[in-house]
Amino acid sequence: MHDCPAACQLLARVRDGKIEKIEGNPKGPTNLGKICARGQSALFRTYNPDRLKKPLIRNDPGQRGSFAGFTEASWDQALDAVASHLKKLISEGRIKEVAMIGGWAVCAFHEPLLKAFAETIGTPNAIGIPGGACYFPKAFGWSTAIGVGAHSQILTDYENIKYLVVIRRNFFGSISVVHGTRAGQKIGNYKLVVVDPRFSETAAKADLWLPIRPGTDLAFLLALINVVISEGLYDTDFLRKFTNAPMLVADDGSPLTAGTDAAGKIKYLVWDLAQNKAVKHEEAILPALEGEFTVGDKKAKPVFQLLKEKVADYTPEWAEKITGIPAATIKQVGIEFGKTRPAAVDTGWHDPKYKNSVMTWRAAAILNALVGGLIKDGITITGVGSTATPPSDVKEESVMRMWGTKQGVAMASKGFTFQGFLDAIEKGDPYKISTVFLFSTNLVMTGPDSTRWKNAFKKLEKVIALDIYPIDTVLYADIILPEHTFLEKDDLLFGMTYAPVVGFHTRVAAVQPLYDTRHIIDIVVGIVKRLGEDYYNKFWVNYAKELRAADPQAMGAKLKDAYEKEGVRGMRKVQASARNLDVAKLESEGLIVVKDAVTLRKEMIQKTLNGQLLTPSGRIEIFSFALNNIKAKKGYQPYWDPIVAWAEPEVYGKADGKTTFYVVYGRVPTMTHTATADEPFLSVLTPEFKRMAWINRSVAESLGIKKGDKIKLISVETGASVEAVAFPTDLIREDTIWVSSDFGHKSEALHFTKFGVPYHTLTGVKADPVAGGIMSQEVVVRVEKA
Amino acid sequence: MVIDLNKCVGCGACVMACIAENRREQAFKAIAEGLPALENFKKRTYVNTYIVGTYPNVAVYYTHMICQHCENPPCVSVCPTGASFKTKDGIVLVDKTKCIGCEYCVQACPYGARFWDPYLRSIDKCTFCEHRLEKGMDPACVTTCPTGARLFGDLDDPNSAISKLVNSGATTVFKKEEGTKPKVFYILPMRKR
Repeated sequence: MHDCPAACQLLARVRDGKIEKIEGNPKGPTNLGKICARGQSALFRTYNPDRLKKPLIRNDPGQRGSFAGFTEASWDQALDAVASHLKKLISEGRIKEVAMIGGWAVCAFHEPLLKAFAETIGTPNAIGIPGGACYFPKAFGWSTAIGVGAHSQILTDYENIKYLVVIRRNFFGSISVVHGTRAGQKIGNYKLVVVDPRFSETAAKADLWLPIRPGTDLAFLLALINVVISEGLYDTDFLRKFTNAPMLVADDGSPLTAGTDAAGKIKYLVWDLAQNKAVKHEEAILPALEGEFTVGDKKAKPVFQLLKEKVADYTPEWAEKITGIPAATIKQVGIEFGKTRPAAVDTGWHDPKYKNSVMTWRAAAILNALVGGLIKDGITITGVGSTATPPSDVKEESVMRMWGTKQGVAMASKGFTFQGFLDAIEKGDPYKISTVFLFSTNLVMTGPDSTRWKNAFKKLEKVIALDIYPIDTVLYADIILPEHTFLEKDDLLFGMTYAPVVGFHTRVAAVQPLYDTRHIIDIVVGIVKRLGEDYYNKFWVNYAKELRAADPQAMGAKLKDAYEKEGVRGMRKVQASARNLDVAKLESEGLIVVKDAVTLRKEMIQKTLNGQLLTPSGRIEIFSFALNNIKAKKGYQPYWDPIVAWAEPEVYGKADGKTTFYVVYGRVPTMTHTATADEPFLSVLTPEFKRMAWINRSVAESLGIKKGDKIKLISVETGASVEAVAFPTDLIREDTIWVSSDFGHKSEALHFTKFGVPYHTLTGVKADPVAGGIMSQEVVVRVEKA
Repeated sequence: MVIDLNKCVGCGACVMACIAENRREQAFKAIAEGLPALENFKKRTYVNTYIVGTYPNVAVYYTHMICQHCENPPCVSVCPTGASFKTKDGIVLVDKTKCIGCEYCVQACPYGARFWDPYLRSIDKCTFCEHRLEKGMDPACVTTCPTGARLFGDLDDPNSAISKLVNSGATTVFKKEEGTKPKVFYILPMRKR
C-alpha cells in the first residue's frame, strides 16, 4: 500500500534485494491495479540520496531553520535524549507543554499511535493537521446529511453515474487518483460539469466548464436546488423513505420530536396523508412533503415545504449575480441534473477553503438527496464509511480545543483547530507549549501564515521531528528521527479506503531498510520504554484503546506480547486474528476483501431505511439536528442553518480583477502534498507552468506582465507577500490567480526541488465558525512586478 | 497500440512507468549526477500539453510521443550496421551491440521517437516492453494508465479488441503522408470549446 493519502494497493517487483518496479495490485479494489506517476516513481523515493539516513542531534537552537550543526547519533543516543527531555518535563509538572502534531501520513495511518503516545505521557495536545487544514469542513458538511463525509468514507458511483457536477476539486489532477481512475475509465459515459475558477485537468475533460467566482459554489448549488424543486424534478419517493424531508417543524423552528429509540436515534413526527394525522415517520403510510398542518396547538410544516420556501429566492438570476455564471446556464444544468438519473454532485475531497465550506457541502448533499443521489445511487458510502464512528472529542484542557472554543468554533470539541498552537507557543495562551513533536508534517510550508510557524518553532525549548526527508519543517528540529520508507517496512492492518467494499490492507516490507532508520511504531515504543515500566504498560492499553479495541486491557497485553516477539508484524497478526482474517493470505496478497460492493450498498440502503445512519435521526437529514443544536447554542447564522442557506465567504466582493484578485490553489497530478517535492523524477516531470502563478492573459497584458516575469502577490489583509513566476493564460478568470500548493521548498538539504509559490505565506490564521477549518482561500491579493 | 486522447488526463503515469520499467539504471545514474542530468533525461514516451482558445472558450489537449513501430520504418532502412531492425511480430528494436551511434535513425524518424542514450552509449527507444509481452503482460505504460487511455493488443488477430477498434475507423495515425504505416493509432480528442 502506497504511503500516500490515496493508499493505492501496490506490488513491488524485487530482484537481488533491490526494488525494480512498482505495479498496481490487480486484486486491489481501491485503485483497480492502476497507479499514477507518484506510485510509479515511489521506488526512487527509497533510493533517494537526500533521505534522512541516521538519527541527528543538534544542541544549538540558534541553527533552527537550517540543516547545519547536526551530528549523527545512534538510536540509543537519540531516544535517550528525547526520553530525558520528557522525564524532565514530567518531573517538573510541565508535560502538558508537549504538543504532538501529525501530518497526513500520520493522520491517514498512525493517528492512534500519536494519540496513545500523548495519552501515555500525559499531554492532551495531540492532533493531525488534516482535520483543520484539509478535510473536516467538507466532511462535516456531508455528515450533517448522512452522518459521514470524509474522503475515505464516501464515494461517487463513477461506474454508473450519468450526470456529474464537480465543485472545488480536481480529481484528474490531484492526489485523489483513486477517484480519477474510476471517473476516467468512464469518461464519455456521463455528462461532466466542472465548476472551477480555473481550467483544471478535470475541466479539460468536462462537457461544460463553469468558471465560477471563487467561494460562491454554494449559491450555484442553491440555485440548482431551486430549479430542481420549481421544475418538479425531485424524487418524492426517495425523500419520503430515505430522508427526514417529511419531518414536521413547528413555526418556531423546532422539530416535532417523539423521544429516542433504543439506539439513541431521535424519533420525530410526520403528517400521514393516509391517516390524516401526525405519526412517527416509521408508522406513516404516505408522509406529506408539502403543506401546513396543525398538530395539537402547533402549526407545523414538513421540512421539504420549508426547504422549498427557503430556496424560492435562490433563483438562477439571483445566483448569476453572485457566481458570475449566466442564469440560463444554471437553469439548464438544474434541469439536466433533475432529469438525468443517476445524477450527483461529486463527493469532493479537500475543502477547508472558505467560511462557508460546511454549508456548501451540505447543499451538495441536499441537492443529491432531491434526486435520490445519496447512498442508493450517486454518492455511496464506502467500507470505511460503513464502519465509521463520529470523531471523538479531545480533552477540554487541550490547546486546540481551548483555542477553537475561544474563536467560537461550534465543533471545537473535536480539536481539529491546530492553529491554536501558535498562540500557545508565542504567548503561552492559554498555556505554554514548549516542546513539539513533528510527525512528518511540513507546517512551515503548509501551516496557515507559514512565516509565523517558522518564528514560533524558533522559540520552542525542544523540537523533535520524524520524517523520511529533511523537508523545510524538519530543519527546525533539535532531534531528527528518520523513518523507513513504506517499501522497507511491515505495517499495521488498515481499513481499505476509497473502495466500495469492506476490506483491509497492509504493507509488507519489499526490501530490508537501506539505512539506520526505524518504523514510526518502533520509535515511539523506544521512547515510551525509556520512561519506565509503568509508562510502557500504560502505552499498550492506550494504543489498544485508540485502535478501538473492545477490551483495551486484554488487547493491549496481546499487542505488547506480539510486538515484543515479532515487532509490528506481530501486532498486525493480532489485529488480523481479532477480525478472523487469514493472516497468510493478508501477508501474501496485501489485502483482504470481506464484503463486496453489491452487499455493502444493499446493507447501507437498508440501514438508511431503518434509520441507522450516524446522523442523530439515523436518516438522511434534510433538516440537520446537529446544526439545529449549534443554532440553539449560538443563535441563528446562515453558516449553520439547519436546512440550508446562502452564507458568504469572507472574500466575497473583495476582488475587482483589475488590481485585486482572489487566490485559488490546487494540485498537480505529479505531486502528493509537499512530501513528494524532492522525488527526483516527479520534480522534472511536472511542467514548469504548473509551478507558476496563473493570471488571466488579458489582465496580465493590462498590467504589463509577461510569461516568466517575477511577480509579487501581496495579501490585502495582512500585507504578507510571496514571490512567484507569472504564467499569463486563458485558463483562468479575470479576477483570480491560481497557484499550486505543492512547491516552493527552501530546504538546502533537498536537492531535487524546484521553484514554486509558497502559498501559505499569504494565508491568515483563521477558523471557520462551524468546523474550525483554516479558511485557506480567504485571501485577496494585489499583484506587483517584483 | 491505441492511444485514446479523450481519456488521457495528462497525469504522466505512463512516462514514469516507462522510466521505472525500462530506464531504471540510467535513472539511478542521473539521480546521482543531480537535477541538471534529470532535466535532460531522455524518455521513450512523453506527453505534451497544448492550451488553445481564449477565455472562457478554452481547451487543453495532450499528445503522446512514442515510437510508432512503423510497418515501413525509415530508421531501419537508414541504419548502416543493421542495429535497427523489425521483429517478425512487427516491433522495431535496436540491437545495442551493433549500434555505433551515428544517429542516422534519429534524423530519419519523423516522430522524434529515438535518442542517444549516453549511459548505454547506444540509441534507445520504445520496445513495446517486448520483455513483458513475452510473459503475457502488457507494456508498463498500458498496465498503469489510470484511465485506460492506452490499449495494447494483436493487430494480426481480427477479433482482438484493438483490431476491432482500429477497423471501426475511430482511430487515425500521425504523419500518414510519410508512408510509414505506424502501428500506434490515436483517437483524437473531440473539440469541446
